[in-house]
Amino acid sequence: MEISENGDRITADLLVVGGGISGMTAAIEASELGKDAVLVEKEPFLGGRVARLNQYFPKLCPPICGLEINYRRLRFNERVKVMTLTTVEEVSGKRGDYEVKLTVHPRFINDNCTACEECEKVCEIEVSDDYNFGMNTRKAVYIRQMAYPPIYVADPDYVKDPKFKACVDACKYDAFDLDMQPRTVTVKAKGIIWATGWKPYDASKIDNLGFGKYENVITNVMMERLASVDGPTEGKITRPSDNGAITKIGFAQCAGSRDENHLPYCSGVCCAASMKHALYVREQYPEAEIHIFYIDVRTPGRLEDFYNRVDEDEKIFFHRGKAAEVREVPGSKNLIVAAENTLTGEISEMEVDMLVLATGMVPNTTDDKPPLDTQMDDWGFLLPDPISGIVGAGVACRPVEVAACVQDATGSVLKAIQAEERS
Amino acid sequence: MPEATILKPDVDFIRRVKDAGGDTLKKCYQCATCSVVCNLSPEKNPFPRKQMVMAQWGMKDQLLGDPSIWLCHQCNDCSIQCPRQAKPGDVFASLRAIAFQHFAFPSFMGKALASRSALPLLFLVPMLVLLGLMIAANPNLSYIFQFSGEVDYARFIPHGLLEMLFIGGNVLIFAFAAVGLLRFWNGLKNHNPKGEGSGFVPSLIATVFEIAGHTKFTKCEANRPRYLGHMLLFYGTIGAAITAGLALFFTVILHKLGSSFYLTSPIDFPNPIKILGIASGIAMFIGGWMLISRRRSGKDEVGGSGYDDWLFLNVIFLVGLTGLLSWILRLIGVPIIAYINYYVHLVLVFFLLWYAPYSKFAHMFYRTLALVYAKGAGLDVPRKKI
Repeated sequence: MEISENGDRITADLLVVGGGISGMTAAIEASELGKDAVLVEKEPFLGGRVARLNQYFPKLCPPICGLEINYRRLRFNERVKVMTLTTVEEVSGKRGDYEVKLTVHPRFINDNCTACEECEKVCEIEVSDDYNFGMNTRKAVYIRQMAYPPIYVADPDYVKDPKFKACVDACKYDAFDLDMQPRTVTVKAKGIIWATGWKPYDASKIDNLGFGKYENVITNVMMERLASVDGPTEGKITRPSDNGAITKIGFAQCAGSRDENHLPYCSGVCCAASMKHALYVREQYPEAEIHIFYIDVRTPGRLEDFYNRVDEDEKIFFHRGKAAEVREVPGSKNLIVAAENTLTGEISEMEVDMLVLATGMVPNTTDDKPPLDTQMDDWGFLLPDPISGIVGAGVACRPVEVAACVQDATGSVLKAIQAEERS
Repeated sequence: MPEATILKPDVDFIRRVKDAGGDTLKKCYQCATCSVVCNLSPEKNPFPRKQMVMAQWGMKDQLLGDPSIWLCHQCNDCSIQCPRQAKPGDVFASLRAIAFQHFAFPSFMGKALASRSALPLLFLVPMLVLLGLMIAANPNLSYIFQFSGEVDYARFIPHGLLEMLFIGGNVLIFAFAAVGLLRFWNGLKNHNPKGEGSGFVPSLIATVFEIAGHTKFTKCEANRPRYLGHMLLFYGTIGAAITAGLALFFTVILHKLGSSFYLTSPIDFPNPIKILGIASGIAMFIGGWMLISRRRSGKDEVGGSGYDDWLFLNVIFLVGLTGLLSWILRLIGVPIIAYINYYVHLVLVFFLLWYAPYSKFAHMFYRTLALVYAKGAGLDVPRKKI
């Protein structure tokens, strides 16, 4: 890798866009082949959606295992240059010879930061935390649990706020640099891997399930945050309306998925994810009942053992019939879920404390189109494109679980290198 | 080892369902959203999910013996919410269209009303019969071709003769209809468990009240505007029929009986019978117009329309329109237009009444009977929402 003296020009073998599990894996696997890679991530930290997980299915192990090992492999890796708070502005050129203009957005905090937490403690500015889907607030200067790089970041909307001065003054290491400006960096690379991942489908668009109307209706990604130690409730799953305990919880599968009115495709992981969430609830509330309303259970391959384990649990009940109507009980704010039990042929209504909508994944390419007119399918998933030569990896290509993303990312490196060899 | 159930799908039936407007039926993946969002779906035997899979499997006899397809009032809430756009509302409409043909007696009449190519012939019959009556009443037709002067419909075809034709014909038609309806009723009995419900008479009374108040229509969400249109058309038609009956009674029967209370034809404003007639005509016109324009809008909440829908709706609307015009044109006094319009009116009335058991008009018999059966068998118990 060649980097100019002022750091504004970089020449590398690969540019990997997206610092989630797929992007990181791609960059690391490339380095182990002797190729160098620039890994760019638009958020202040790496980790993407996996860092927001409490545990993976089916083994229920935490990302401290599978994700953090990648951080270690990146930390002293001379062949990978990690750039966070960096976005792609423009891509030109062709396979084997790309030129990419990046913008590195200011962090306002430099390498002096030791993550001592003092600035955060004194900070009086609190904003709604998107990381936790608005379920709590964060400060205007913040860091994440598994932060890579382990440096705080200041919210650009508040650095000019007079109250922010208190945060700056608290720093003993002179780590604040409020004069930081956006920088342009040009990368010349032979191959580009596009691993921009996904965002959850907007559940407020689903009219009949009450999200956004009823407080105790949440989505699967919100449940994952509730269960996470670095989440809004420090890992305790409680009802949003009153922080109460759970006695009976419902899961509505295929919420806005496999649905011509929303996402027509199946996101593949929501069945296993809901089962995982059911086990979270079982652990925290041994007496609670869990009811899962489904059309089909999709747990292919080795996940079938996981399904059997969950199905055999005496407190977890599967109902074949989509949850199609949700009403709120005034006062308790419980929810009434109506579904037809297609096995008995009767409609039943059930009152639950909380309802989790198993919503699907929307590729981020729907917000930021990939460059050079790279082909996508009707829903934004990247298709193999020999003309643009851009190689997709992870959920940017298809909705799959973490293990498949890792495999996909490894494969994408091969494709990206081949592009270089062929040109 | 449990006994195997052998299903013989009627593949021809599946094709007929698709052709009659239910072409999306195979998209259904049995999620049951439809059964839950339908406001008319009972709790213990919900619809339309189960009927969708029965239709996919070609279970013709069970479907045509299921009162659920008549409990449906094509609200289209199901079609709107269906994640697969399998349009259960349209599938049920095609099942009903097939039912009219299936139970028709004689069966060639059922086929004729469903066939576009038979339409000219179906119109030709009343046209010739009425032409014959016209000529028999007045061999000299020159009075028709005047541009001004008196318009006397009694001269065109004497009312007594006309009514005998209709009433006589209707007796025959109702006898044929009864054959079909008896088959239908037996089908219902054979394919439904004997549930706990009310007796026949209480069910009948409950059904009559429900239809009078159009209660089920008020429960529709997606297609709610149809409540008003159908109600107007429904009561307009009933009013028009009552008017015709009253007019016959007062102008012909009382006259024949020598009573002094008889009225001369034409009965004019402000006689209450006339007022009923005008109000009925206006109701039919407005109601029919509302229903036709909604169907033509092609919006999802209206659902699809088949040949049987258009034929019936257009005929009954035009009956109302030509009826009103008969009165207006008589008052204006342009004989040639008035008589031609009146002729068209009679042809359409004949078409409507004589072909009633075979066209979509038959829904008045089938749905009523199905509702009575369902209530009697405890199959129309609404959901209790907790």
